[in-house]
Amino acid sequence: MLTIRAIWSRRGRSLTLFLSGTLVVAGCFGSVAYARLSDISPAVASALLLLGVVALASQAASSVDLRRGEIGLAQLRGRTGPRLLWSAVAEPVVILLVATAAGIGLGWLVTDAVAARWLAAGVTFSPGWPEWAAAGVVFAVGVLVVVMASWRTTYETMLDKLVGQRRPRRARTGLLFLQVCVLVGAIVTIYQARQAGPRHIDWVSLLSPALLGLACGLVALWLMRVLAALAAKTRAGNRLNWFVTTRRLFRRADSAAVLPVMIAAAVLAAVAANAWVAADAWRQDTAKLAVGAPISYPVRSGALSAYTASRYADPSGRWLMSAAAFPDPTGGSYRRVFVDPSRWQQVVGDFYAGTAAGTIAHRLAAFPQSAALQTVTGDSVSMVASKDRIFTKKHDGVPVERYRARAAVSIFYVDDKGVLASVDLPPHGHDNQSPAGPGLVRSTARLTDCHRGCVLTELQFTGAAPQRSPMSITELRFAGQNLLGSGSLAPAIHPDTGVHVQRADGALRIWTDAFFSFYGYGSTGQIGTWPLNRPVAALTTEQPKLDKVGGKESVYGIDGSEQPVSVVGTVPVLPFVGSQGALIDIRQALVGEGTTASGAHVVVLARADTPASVRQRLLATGVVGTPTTYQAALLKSRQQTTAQGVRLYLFIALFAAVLALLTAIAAAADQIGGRRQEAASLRSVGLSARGISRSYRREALALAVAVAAASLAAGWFACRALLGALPLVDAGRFGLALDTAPRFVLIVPLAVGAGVVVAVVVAIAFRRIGRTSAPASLRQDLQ
Amino acid sequence: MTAPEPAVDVGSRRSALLELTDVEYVIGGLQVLHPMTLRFRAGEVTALSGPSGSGKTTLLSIAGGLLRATSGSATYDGTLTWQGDGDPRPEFAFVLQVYGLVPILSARENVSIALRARGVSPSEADERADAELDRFHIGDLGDRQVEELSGGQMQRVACARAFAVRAAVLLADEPTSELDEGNREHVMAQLHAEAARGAVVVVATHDPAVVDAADRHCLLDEGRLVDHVEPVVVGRHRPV
Repeated sequence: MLTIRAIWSRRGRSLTLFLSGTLVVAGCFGSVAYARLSDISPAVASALLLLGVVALASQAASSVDLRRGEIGLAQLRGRTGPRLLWSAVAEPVVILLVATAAGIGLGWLVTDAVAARWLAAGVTFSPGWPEWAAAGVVFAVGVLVVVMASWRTTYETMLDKLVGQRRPRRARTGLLFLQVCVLVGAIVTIYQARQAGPRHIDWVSLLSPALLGLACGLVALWLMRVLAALAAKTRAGNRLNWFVTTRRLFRRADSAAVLPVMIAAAVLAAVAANAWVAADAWRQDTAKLAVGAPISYPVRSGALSAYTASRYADPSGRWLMSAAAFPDPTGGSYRRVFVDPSRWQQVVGDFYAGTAAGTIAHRLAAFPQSAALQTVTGDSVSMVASKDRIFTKKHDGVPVERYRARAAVSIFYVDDKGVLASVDLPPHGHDNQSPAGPGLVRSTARLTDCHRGCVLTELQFTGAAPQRSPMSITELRFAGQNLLGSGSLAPAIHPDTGVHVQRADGALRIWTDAFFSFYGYGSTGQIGTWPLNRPVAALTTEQPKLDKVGGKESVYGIDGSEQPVSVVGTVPVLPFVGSQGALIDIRQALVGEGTTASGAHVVVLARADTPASVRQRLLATGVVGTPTTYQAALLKSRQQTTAQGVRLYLFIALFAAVLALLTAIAAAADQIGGRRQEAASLRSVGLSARGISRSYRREALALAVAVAAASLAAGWFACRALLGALPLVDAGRFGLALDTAPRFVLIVPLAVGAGVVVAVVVAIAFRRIGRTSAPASLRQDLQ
Repeated sequence: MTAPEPAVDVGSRRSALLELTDVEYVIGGLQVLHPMTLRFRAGEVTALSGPSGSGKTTLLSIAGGLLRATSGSATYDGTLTWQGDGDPRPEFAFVLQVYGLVPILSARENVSIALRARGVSPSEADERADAELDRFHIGDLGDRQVEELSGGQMQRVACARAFAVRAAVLLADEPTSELDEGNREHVMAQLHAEAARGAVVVVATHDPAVVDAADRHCLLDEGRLVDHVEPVVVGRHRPV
């Protein structure tokens, strides 16, 4: 009862201690809980725990300090040992106990709300031992600080405890030791974090931002005192308007005691904000590069299917574009992606604007303007060729067939479904043959699955003919296109096959060397093949350099074979690819390569505003699956463990900021009594109330500048040193590099904000003291 | 409210400069001072004595313009001492019962700031501060923060500060309470020196020795002026 009455009698100090305790317990409890639910190391809460311990220690010690007189009186009344210690610690311990209970409740509520908002559906929170342990540690550390401060007070001289006039206290060895520990700890943890890297982060590394902030705060505090001491010796510092301010800044630590916690909170906030922005920008870029466009339809039937489906569903080229991405078949990180550059600007447009691959569009202008790939559609093939000629000999006076001169062609193509197919002319059984002129016959055959666009891959001649009487193919129509009229058809007969093909008058003349050594269908040779083995245009990343095959740079083509490329430019990052790979013209690469090697990620990309009719038409082709959107990919990326970790870090920074604010308020509140006395003393010797208020405003300004400058420097350094060492993203093998450069647009407002908070708290707390502290209050009966 | 008491002229040999007329002070329904009229003249040391709670400090505060009388007025040289905000007039100086020293300043700075507040240049203020500290035998403590000083040392710093400004009116509240006999006599001597300079000097005290050393003596009890003593002076001032 006595304790409760005592708490009430010092309700201002009790309230700030209670609020700080509640906040630290809630923050640690919630952080650990969120970390557990997100499968993150609970060590991430260590930074908040450290700041919380520092803030609670300062407030608990201050609470004990206020009660030095009571402790002295208790000693005078004969209390000793545990009874004396209990009478000294009872009040702050009860406050901490209630604060711990309240903090657990608040942390529970916050975790519940946050889990529902940010974690996957179905994740429910029930506290486990790590959360209870976190709350217990905060309480235990708070009690330990209180006990130590009280124990120390009991050993002070009775005069120090009971005298009304406060004596200055020299920095103790223990405090100096702790300050040195903070400085050394900051250096060690930063080194440890940088050495360990994001994949091996531990609690020591996670402490580094908070320790760095505290260390910079201590340095700022010392620097400010030194500068104030120097200023006091100058003429300006000796003028009446700066006289009190400079002396206060270098002689009294109380006004600047909040610097370390405030700067540490600002540093934590700077690191968290930079981490969040950097990681989220990376996620957006990565999601864009991964999805490729606002909408992405997966295609299972190969690159040609995607190509033809996109052109079939969107002949205008405004909405759809095909793409195929291939991992490195050697197990490396070199990716190659085939895209349709003629549709890039229309379909992808400024989707990559602002990303690392934002400048890619104009580089694609270096690709050929027209497509090399010619697809055909139709349902039949036909050939006009010499009729079979039969050479006979008499056997028992009966002529029997000895040799047959004939010509046949097998046409290989990739159909609508991405399947390699072939058709023979004349078909087996010589069906569908009809006369086509003197000595000529027309053969026809059905062509299947060539409705949206097929691509020829190879023509093979099969047959035999004597040189004196070669066979002729005068017409070869594939889906309505006469291949013999195409300039791209070129005989490519290996000399050892003994097959000769001659192009003459729009026809092919074919004979074989060893006609008489064969019976029947003797020789086979290619008379036309695609691809033509021309280099295809490619944009590559700067590293690594492409391999050279036969003196030419090459990559693995769509079908997995070596494909010579003509590099039109190099860039740091490519869409789909990341930082290592090549972007290749699919229109060239597909020529004669209709089959797609396994492991490909083939898609049809669509603009966000693609009309429903175009989408329906695309879906109707039957080759595309359920689309993925950029937003869905980004959302998925934001659910990753690393994203939750960064979010948790923001959460912790928010708690640290509120804690710093409470600490600043508590520190200011502690000083009000002394300031009133000081102001009254100054007024009694002739200083005006306005002048005293100005002095306090200058002090607030000096503190604000110190906090802002130190926060800016420390925030910049922390981001530069630590962002790369924190596990912010899952970059993976093909990942973009995370941009860990400090963002001044975030650091400056946070630093200025911290300074403004200090200035506002000090200004508000001491605003009226000059006017309200009349010299008449300096009476013994009012002290 | 009780009827005003008859005026007491405690410095009849010179013209009255600090004058309290029908001064009464009531706070929270408590009559701290009953109406009284007093006149303090320059060149004389007046002692106010009385038991604790008799109203000595309140009377000094009203006389010095730190408190506003509930009724009546306090004037110096015909002008009200109360300026409306509780700040003393520049020609007034105080030795406060709790010293009123600024903890963040050194002994020298505590004295110097009073001079600077009156427009004295910093260098001259520091020189004079050192001289005043020497005057009270604490010149070697000039660089010490006042928090580090003993009660008696702080009291002497407070005296040095009040004496340094060469005020026209010097109001001292228990200026010797923490001092040994030697220092007490020295402070009294300095008070007389201030009076000899032409200042009005009023000292609130419990110390009979101080009362004995004063030129005049007013005795207060429960807010009333119950007695006053004026020494018989024959043609000369009391020696300093």
